[in-house]
Amino acid sequence: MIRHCMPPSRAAAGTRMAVLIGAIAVAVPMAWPLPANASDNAALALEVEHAVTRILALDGDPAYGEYLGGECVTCHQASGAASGIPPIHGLPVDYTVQAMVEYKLGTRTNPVMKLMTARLSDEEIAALAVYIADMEE
Amino acid sequence: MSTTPTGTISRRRFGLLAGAGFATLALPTYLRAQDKAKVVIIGGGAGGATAAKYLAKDSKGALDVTLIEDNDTFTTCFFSNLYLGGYRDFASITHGYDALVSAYGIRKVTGMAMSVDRAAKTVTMADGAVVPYDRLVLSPGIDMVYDSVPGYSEEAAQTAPHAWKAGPQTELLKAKLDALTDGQNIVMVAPPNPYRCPPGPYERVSMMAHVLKSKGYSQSKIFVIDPKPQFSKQALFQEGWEKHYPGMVEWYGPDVHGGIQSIDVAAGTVETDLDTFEGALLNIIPAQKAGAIATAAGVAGETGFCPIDAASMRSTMDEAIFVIGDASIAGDMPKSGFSANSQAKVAAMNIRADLTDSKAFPAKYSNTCWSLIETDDGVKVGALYEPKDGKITSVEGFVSQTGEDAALRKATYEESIGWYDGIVADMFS
Repeated sequence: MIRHCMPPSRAAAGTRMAVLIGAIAVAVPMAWPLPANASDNAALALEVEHAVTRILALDGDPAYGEYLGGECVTCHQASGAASGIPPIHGLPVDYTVQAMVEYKLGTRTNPVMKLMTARLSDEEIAALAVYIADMEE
Repeated sequence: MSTTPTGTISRRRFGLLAGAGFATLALPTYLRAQDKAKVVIIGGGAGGATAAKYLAKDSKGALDVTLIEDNDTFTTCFFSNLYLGGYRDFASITHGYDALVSAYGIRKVTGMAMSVDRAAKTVTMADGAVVPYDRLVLSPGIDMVYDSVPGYSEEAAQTAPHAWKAGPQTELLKAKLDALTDGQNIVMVAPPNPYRCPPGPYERVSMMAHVLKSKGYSQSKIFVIDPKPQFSKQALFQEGWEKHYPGMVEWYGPDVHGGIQSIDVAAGTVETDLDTFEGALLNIIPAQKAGAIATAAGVAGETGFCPIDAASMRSTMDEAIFVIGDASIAGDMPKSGFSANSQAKVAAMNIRADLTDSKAFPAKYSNTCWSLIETDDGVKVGALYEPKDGKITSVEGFVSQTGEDAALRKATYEESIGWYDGIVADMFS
């Protein structure tokens, strides 16, 4: 369960199936009596997994993603070059969706990314993930 | 390369005679370009360079994009304070237009745009050349209102630099800063709202203090005479000045200094109701207005800045003109390079929707400003904006907190370096 409270590493980016299994794995311990903060964490993790599952079921609009992605490449270089801010181009869709949901819901804490994801709808995250996966230079 | 009125008419006539289909199939590229809708961008800074690139890139050759800019290179105002502080060299904040021309097919016209004929939809250059447009983007940045500070002038700026447009002024300020000896003071006159880069004067104070401290100076002071009762990131800067430069920085708001009476750049004095401040270096940052071409085009309002439609960045005075960046009245958005870059993308999308069959999505704007207080002590403020209640309105935001630990402040500074590389790549490559 703790695994789901931590940001996934890039290598550990899950498949859609793994995400579904993760949601179930989190759901089970929810029934156990846990300390309040652990219970909150579990509830948040469950919320993250539900959002990820919901978004991965959508077909992202690449044209919308390209427009919204203009906001990403102000900081994340479109070429993939990086200095101080990690590269994003070509990241798998499920990884990007997971990361953006975690920023939006607060399990990842960078204030800029938390801000940038705060107003994104499910459709917008799906569109961005498709755009980012297709980014190349 | 400029288009003369004669050349335009003759090509247009030839196009009419030849017929559009024939022209598209058989004419060489430079003549075929005459059939494309024309977008002209005036100003090659954070707004204009971004707009030119996104118009050319996203229209995939469907638009004829011309960027008018008087200079061959662009020195960013953002990070110019880090040049003052000795963290960057001048070359590292100066960028060229080669990639915009070679990779995106943008036509760069080097020269000064003097006037806009809105009825004819043409721009007239200083050399008399006429550039026609279907849509015009004005991104001229700011001009100084020199006489907002009694005794200040464009000429006086050669002695007491404003350095609020990056370039020779910035180099002059750096030279004067580096020449100070211990015990010599700096007097900054900060600008009134609205002005370019709200935290900029106070980051500059930090960087000047860093230079004095690095040289072991203990007698010099920096006096900040401010027409505003409070300023951006005030608690963060004042905490930082207290921590890193104790006793060196004295900030005076209007309730203390009572008003700036006059300055004398030759004598190095700033006279206020409270006292006369003396400095071997005066940094006078006057009030600001939209760049001259905005006024010449008749799209600036009484405030000296340009009203725009919050949903598109389109001028409220001319539907064929968009105004972006510092020259625009962008509601809650600060005048910053990040804001200009964000606004440019919204304008470019709406222009493509006007002139091609592409779709206009709802406008979304964002901004983050990083500031450096001392080595590895970075802070930031950011917000999201949307068109709401007839203006660009802040919908969510954050700001660094006082008392943050050193690791977080270092990470914030490192993030700012990544952002700089990111935004200049987004503008110029």
